[in-house]
Amino acid sequence: MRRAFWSLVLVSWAASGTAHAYPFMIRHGYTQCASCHTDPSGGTLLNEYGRAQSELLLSSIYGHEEELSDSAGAEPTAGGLLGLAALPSWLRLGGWLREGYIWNAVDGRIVDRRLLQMRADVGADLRIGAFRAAAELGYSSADATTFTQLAQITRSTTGPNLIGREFWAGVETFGGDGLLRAGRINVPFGLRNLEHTSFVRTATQTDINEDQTYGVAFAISRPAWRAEMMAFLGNLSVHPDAYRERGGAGYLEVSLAPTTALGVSALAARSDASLATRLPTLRQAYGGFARASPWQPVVVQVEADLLLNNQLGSGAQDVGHAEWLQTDVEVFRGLHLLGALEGMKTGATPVLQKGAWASLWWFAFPHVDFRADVVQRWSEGPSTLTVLVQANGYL
Amino acid sequence: MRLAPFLLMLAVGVPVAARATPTFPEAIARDLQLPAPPACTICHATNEGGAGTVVKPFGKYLLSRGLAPFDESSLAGSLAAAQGERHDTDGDGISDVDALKQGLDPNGSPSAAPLLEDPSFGCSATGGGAGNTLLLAFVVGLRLVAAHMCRWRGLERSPDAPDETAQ
Repeated sequence: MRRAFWSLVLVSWAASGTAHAYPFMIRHGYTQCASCHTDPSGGTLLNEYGRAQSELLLSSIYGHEEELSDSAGAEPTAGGLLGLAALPSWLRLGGWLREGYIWNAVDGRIVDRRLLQMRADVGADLRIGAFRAAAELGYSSADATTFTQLAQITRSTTGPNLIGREFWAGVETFGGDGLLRAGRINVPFGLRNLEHTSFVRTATQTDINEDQTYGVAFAISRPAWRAEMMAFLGNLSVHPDAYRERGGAGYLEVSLAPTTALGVSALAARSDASLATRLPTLRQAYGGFARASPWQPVVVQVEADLLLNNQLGSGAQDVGHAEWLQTDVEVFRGLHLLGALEGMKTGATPVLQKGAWASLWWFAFPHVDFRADVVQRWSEGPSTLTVLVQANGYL
Repeated sequence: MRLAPFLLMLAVGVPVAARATPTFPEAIARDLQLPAPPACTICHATNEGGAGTVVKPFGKYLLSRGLAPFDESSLAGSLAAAQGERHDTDGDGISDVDALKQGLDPNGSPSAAPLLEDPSFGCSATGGGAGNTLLLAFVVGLRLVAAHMCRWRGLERSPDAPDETAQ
């Protein structure tokens, strides 16, 4: 039994994976996600400026920085899908392909290793005057069904599925600083970090892999602060209706300095039947998060959340918590060393779980990056060790 | 040039079918030293089991911990994960493994939600054939876009184009 204490959450990396949300860009003074992303809270398609910055600031450079800056600053491909097609100014297209390989070990012995199909999505964003719309469609293999089912469009339980993480339409307000939209939207809560298996994301059910829900959201980005609030109408990919959560979530992040931001989040959602327990449940999460870059090569991110789970009608309440502390050191342009510590305690897993991450992330070329993670987790039983390597290409 | 291979790779995913595994109840009993194999319904919708019928929360939890069809070592691993985490699917204070050892259903008492059907996922209008049609249309669309991009980049030679390799 003891021999195969599998990776706890990391199997979920088999899911079609992650979008691009890089909160560490605060090292360059970018506290606003909307500067580079079409989603005002980040995590999805890049706009023209974001494409340019991904080359100027994100990727490794192989030559004289000044020359590259001069040429890349005018990146002629920024709005034209890498020069592959001339796009009208109102249309942005994108695509993501992420593949990986995972090893899981228990007490130092490998018990699982396999290839992962993590993400295969295409996306588009329209901006016609004040009107905005965006959609992403993706392929999820049969192996990933369990981890993408909340985003399924098709309903196969034995084969591959078409999935749609995001699709929404809305209007810009406040001179383009605000966006009122409706559709399937990422839940606005906490850090929008890439590590969607981190405890803070899984415990609050706010990852950008499959935890989006349907609703109406209003986001606003001002120079010194940004915020988004969302009313949940329920995840229409879940049937029957009793399992759908209604409620709301939101965050407010204030920029204390060009490279320091502090935020708070709240979430409350009720369902007639929790997917976990099938009992009427009120789920709440309240927390704070912060990002800071005291020195440009270093970014520290932290999030701490209080978790409250009420079984309605019984008076029972589970109180838990989840934490995340990550440090990102950019050794040289495009090469990041990351370390993270995390903790989680919930009603379903009443023993405090602890985790430590060590990662190497190389943005080798524009629109291509490679990443390796080593994750150790501890609970009551034997510790687990997971190693994941992945390659990601995006347009 | 770079988009076409990307889209082609995107369009050629290979599905892997999930299947049911009749030996799992006995394997669970052996691994956890239970007096008798548990019912299939601790994971499946019915005791008939079958492909795509793992709808119970405990079954889905085991899947999330690496359970794979016909792979008893993966079952042992996922049960070990449940034991290590002291996972409690129904939140009744009795861990899933302890519940199994006590002859209980880790999903909780059926009387807790007697009339609730099992959850399903996806758009209600896309079941069965319609879903497959949508997925096929998506893949075909990607292939068409890739082909278009190849032509646009001049990768596909027109029949009357001069053969530059002929010397």
